[in-house]
Amino acid sequence: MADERFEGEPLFFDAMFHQKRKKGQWRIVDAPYLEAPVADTHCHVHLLKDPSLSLARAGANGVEFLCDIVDVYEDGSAPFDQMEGWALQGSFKIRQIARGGC
Amino acid sequence: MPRVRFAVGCHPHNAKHYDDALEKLLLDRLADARVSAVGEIGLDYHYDFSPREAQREAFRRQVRVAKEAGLPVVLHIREAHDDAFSILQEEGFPQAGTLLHCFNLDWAELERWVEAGCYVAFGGPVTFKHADEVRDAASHVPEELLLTETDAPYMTPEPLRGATCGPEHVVFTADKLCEVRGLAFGEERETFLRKLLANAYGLLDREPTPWQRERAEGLGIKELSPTERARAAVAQWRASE
Repeated sequence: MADERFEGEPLFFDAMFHQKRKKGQWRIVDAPYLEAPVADTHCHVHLLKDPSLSLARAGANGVEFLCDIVDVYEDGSAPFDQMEGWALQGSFKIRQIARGGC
Repeated sequence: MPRVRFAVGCHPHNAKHYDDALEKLLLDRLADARVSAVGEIGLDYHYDFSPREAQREAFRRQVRVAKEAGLPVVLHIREAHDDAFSILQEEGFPQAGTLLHCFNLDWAELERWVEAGCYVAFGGPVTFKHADEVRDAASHVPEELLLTETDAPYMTPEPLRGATCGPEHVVFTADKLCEVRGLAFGEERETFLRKLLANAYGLLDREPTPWQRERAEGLGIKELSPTERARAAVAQWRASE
């Protein structure tokens, strides 16, 4: 299960980075400039609130490859069953967030 | 969109549940051609959510599974590096590779793992304020064994700690790795970053092994054509709405 500390956190429909501030405020932080694409070799995309949006945000920020880590005891078959659908949804969302969200 | 692969394994937290039935399920999941590693597996003596003996047994069994399947292992080790290293020495490090995930200790610990040929993935901890020893360790790892990761939704890197981590946050970790290795903006960083990406592809974007193909065939799992995968994706999307 996703960490309960993050329950209630807003889901930002954009490709930007949001830093948590006091009193429920959020501030946008500039992404570092990278000269080449990168890989996330260890993440649990299926535990995120909106995996398709997370894939889109990753793609929009230059993440070219990722490895989703699945626990055979507690994650079930959902990550395997749903990843193709999340990727397809993400491919539409990436166009929207790359244009600045909606 | 990022290319996505899977690793599957029984986390040390769940080691007490690792029995023959769960191992069979693991073997079946490994038959999926999208799976490229066994993990995360290992030992976690910090939380001890499973008895240590159960953790060691589950870890040992899964190292054997990975070796049989011809796949690399992705390791989660916390406050248990001596035991984990001993088990790997006894069982033999998998030929397909060993990845030490979310490394957050110093070079004194890391050196033996690097000498054993393990890949080392750095995530959020390399960006944390009081983690000079992690940054020092990252500066020592040979480029060909270095990887980036997030562990999302956990371990959010600075300056975003306190928010949910997503795979996109890996850009902060990659940038920090460039910094700790003293690379100049431009060509130096680009060469380094491309090498790290190539490392990830080389270790985790592998063709299905003969064991995986054989197991899939035995289970009646068919590798999908691009058209079939697209149809499946649309069906999954519709089902999720």
